[in-house]
Amino acid sequence: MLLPFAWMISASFKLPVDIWNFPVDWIPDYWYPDNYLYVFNMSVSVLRLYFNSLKVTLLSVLGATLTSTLAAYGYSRIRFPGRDLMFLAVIATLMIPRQVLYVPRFIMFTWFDKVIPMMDHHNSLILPGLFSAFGLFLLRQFFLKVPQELSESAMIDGAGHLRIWYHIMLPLAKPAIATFIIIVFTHHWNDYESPLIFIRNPELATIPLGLANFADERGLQYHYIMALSALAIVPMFVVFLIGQKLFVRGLTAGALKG
Amino acid sequence: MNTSGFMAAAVNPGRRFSRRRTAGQTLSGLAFIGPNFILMIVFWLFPVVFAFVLSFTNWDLLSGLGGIEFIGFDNYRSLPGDDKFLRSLLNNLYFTAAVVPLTVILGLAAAVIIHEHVWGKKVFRLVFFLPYISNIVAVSIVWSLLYRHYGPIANFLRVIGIEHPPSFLADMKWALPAIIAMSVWMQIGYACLIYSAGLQGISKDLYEAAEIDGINRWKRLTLITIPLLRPTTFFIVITSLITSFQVFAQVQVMTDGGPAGSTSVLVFYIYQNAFRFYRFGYASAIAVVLFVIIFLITLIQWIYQKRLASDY
Repeated sequence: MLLPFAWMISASFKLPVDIWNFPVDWIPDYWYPDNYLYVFNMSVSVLRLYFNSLKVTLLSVLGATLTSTLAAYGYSRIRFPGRDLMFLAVIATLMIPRQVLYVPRFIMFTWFDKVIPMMDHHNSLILPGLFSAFGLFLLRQFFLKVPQELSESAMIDGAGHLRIWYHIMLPLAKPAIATFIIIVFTHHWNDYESPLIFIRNPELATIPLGLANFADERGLQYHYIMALSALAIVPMFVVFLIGQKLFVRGLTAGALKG
Repeated sequence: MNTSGFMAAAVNPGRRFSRRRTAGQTLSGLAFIGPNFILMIVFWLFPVVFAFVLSFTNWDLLSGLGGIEFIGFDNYRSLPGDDKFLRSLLNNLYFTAAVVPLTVILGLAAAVIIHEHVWGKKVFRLVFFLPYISNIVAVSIVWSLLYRHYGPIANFLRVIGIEHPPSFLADMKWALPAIIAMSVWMQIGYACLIYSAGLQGISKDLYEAAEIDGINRWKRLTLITIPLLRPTTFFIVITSLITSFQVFAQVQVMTDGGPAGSTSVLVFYIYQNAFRFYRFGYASAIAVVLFVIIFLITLIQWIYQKRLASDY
């Protein structure tokens, strides 16, 4: 299972001529770190790509957390006509394949451009990312399990909805929020399709797009390509190792209901 | 749902519903769900409706909104005669028919073996899971190097006596199976993880009883484990079906649909039509086909879950 990763890392430290040796030298005789120096110093540096990915991912994730926790509170704590129908509409979006949306969004974004920059701009990745039906679903489930008495008594003490949301629900929902964050973080960090369609400027590329562009342009410079690939994969391993438990909880949430 | 709120309202006269109170409730409710709901309409609901509308037009990017022309079902009518579309659909069905069962079987095998292991469970599960969270572009690039004519896989095959191994991704017969193998490698960890969670839910008593009855390991697997994991299997099958019909990045990065269309799949064909030929109308019609496929799979899931819920 891990051999492809091992091969990638070993190739990333080799001179191009040594990559195709067979039997594979898993541990190169000569470690050649210049490949990494190269991808840090190239015209669109890997640091630039990291920055773009981090910016897009963090803003999407934080925004989606905010809108999802607010909405989850609304759907689980405030009663008003039409609520359940609206909830159903939001949840129904879970079955829409994202690929159906790209063409219409592409056209819409050229319209939006007159008001707010979208095409070839990070907004085209961040703004749609502020909504998450998965997040709403996960957090509402969690909020429903919190005893109503808690918010009732706060309300009798004169707290408004916003304060209950902030001071009672958010702290209680920390595990659910953390689970949501790590799943959505991974999703945005690894997303390739949206940047491919909406981002043209190489300076604005995220890591997956930057890597694909780089491999296209430098088709034969495998040593550099492997170094950049390793840099694209390894940070996610670290994130995963730290948040492993949350990750597992998030992915199994749908599978083991009831 | 929850009656305690109602109880509190009954006990505390101040909370009795009045018209003004209801209006206030509605307003604050809308304020809370508003941002989420508006984003949903702008970035999901409207585009989906728009995609359906576009699928009845022959719109391309160059002619602008003025050039929009409704052509009824023409896009859909030309689909059955479009060899490239049929090819993509067939390739996609082939991909799905291979990836889903392989992922389920290998994922279950991995989960069961890890579960019965005494030590190192976490490490093994992690090993299987790493490909799943890895960046798909990076993984696709690494695998396309592994698959090269003089790459490590072909060289290994030469060593074990296969004189003329295929140059996988450049070979019309082998390119799709090569992508399938790489996709299974990526997906096993997900199935393994979900199965592991399912296995932990099976009571140990059952296995102990089986042991007393002298049932061997194979029968224990086929008579206890697999039947009890049926809801888990169903869930994995459904999610894998959905992701399989949405396969794109591997294809675009590793073969760009080639050689000669032999690895083109639905989403790749949508992408090609939309963003290389700018045939927005036609691309939308294919996207609607994809939507219908996914919708049917989801429908099956709902029906099954309803039945499951009424069984217990």
